[in-house]
Amino acid sequence: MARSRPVLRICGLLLCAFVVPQPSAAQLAHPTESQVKAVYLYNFAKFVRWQRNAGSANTFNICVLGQNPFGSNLDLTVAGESLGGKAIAPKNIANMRAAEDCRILFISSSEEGRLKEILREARHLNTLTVSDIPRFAQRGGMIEFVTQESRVRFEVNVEPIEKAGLTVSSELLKVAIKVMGSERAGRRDQ
Amino acid sequence: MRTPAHNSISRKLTWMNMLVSGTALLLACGAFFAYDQLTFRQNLARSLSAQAQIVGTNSISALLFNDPQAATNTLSALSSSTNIVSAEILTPDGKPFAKFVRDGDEDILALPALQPGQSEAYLFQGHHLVLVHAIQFHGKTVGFVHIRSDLRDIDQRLKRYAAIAFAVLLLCLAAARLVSWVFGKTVSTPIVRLAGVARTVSNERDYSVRAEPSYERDELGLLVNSFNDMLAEIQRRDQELQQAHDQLERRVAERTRELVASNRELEAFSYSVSHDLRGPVDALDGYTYVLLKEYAGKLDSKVLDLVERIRNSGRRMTQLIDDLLTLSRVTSSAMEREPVDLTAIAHSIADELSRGEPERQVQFVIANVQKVEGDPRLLTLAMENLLRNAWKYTSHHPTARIEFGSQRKNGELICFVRDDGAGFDPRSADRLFQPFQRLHSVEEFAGNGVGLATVQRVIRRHGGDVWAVGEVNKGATFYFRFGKGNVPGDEAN
Repeated sequence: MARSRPVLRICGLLLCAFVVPQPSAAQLAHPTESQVKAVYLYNFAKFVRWQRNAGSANTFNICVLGQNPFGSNLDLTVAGESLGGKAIAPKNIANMRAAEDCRILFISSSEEGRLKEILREARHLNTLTVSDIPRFAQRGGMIEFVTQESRVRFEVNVEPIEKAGLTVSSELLKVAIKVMGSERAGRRDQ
Repeated sequence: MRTPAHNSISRKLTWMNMLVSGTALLLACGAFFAYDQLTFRQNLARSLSAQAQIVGTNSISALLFNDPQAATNTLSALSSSTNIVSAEILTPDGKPFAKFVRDGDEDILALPALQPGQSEAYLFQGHHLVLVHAIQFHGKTVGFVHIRSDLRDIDQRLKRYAAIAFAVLLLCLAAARLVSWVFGKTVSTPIVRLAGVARTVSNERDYSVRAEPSYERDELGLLVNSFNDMLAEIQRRDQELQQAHDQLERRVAERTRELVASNRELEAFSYSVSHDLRGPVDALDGYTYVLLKEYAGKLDSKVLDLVERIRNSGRRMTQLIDDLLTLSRVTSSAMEREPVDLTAIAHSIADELSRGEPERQVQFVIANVQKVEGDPRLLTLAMENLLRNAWKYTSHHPTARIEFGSQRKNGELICFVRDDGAGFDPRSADRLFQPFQRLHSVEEFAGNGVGLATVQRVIRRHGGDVWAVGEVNKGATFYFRFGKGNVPGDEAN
């Protein structure tokens, strides 16, 4: 009646082969933390709506401010990907002046000392700020990567997101370990 | 009264109706079931697909941000759909990501294969429906949803339908019964009535009954009306036959009456003639007796001889009249029927004859003859005549032998009386039994020719006949036999 397990497995493999032509970093056997963060960075883009066009850039820029912790992972992750008809382009920037065209701004932990200024400047930009600097969200950042039990999770602070005129999908909030800065704020039950 | 015939025809009609409606209903139900099954399965697949889609969409973020807990929470919402047995979310490379299983039910079932470009496939396996849904997000497959649903709903629906169908079937059959009871009467009632009439006709031979005339212009009406016509025709012929028969009966009765009347007249006549004849003859006898007694000395012997002759003639006359009276009585008297022992009669007559003339040397040989059915008085008369006849015609022989016996010819009993006396000329044999016909002169053998005529009448009255075989001086044998039914035991042969 039911087909046997090997057949099932073969089916599954075939399925993968057909439907998923290029495995992304997230699906690799044991992705590194930086690989996961790179993928998440790209995935955030899919759950956030930018009200205005971020500048006049005809690419979707994901910027890394400061020392790039991803190495080539971010480039590999977004290679060939596009959003809203715009190719996704990873971009390394050294200061906030170059952040004008950034849709997503990853603030490297190397910039922790300048964080207050960076966030103040970012408030005027139509940019999603992400960082793995501890207490980033409480300090006015939008999304903070948190590593829990060797898994990469994130916290979301809705207040700066709304102030920046961005809209974040409830789907994203659903998987955040902590949402603050809104009436929906609270810690999801684990 | 319900007769078997009534049962048979209306029951057949009822069965036919019920069978037809039952079959129609079952076929309709079958088609409906099949269609319903099909659509219901499709609907089930569609609803499962919708659920898979919802679950899939709600699991996108969980998949993208590797949060199996969130996906499990999403899946657990499926617990409200009682027909869903298990659901699973897989990563794009087929690894289990999140799972929902109801009550430990975990059958491994084959998953339907997704063809390239297909985002969904489902498969009915036994009592389960398995559906695979590819979760698409921004043009990419981010995972898969497997949902397994049992077909409890379908089964339940099927059971409910079966119950409904059964109830409807019962109602339908009842309705069919009712309908055939009401409308079947138009068919079965005339047939049943016709059958009843036919039975009456065949049992009681009563052709006056009629089936209730039918005014229907169908074959049944034709049948009933033709049957009635046939009965009328038979009745008419019957009446004609009866009339002819009655007429014949009347005529026969009339003739018989006439015959009886003329016979009675004839007998009355002959009786009165005989009786009236006796008067003068008796007077003659009386006077000649007086003459012989009173005047025997006064008359010479020649006169006395003449008177004696006159007297003898008178006596013969008396005898003749007596015999005639006997003959007449043989014909007219009522017959009794009882077993008669001819042998015993023969013995008693032989004794009487031997005592009457003891000087004669006559040997009687009397066999044991089977008893016959008849009138003892008449048969005694016949036997007496035959034996006296033999006694008389052997009187000129010094010794004689008279035999009474019987023989069987073709199983029929034939009795005979045989003597070795004077015999007769065979050419005149047929005259023997006619009254007053004599083959010998009175001088040779006294007699008046009435005896054998009497025998013949007695035997004929018993339905038999008598005949004689003989030659001059070589004796004579008188045979007689009885009609059928007059010899006990004949019928058994």
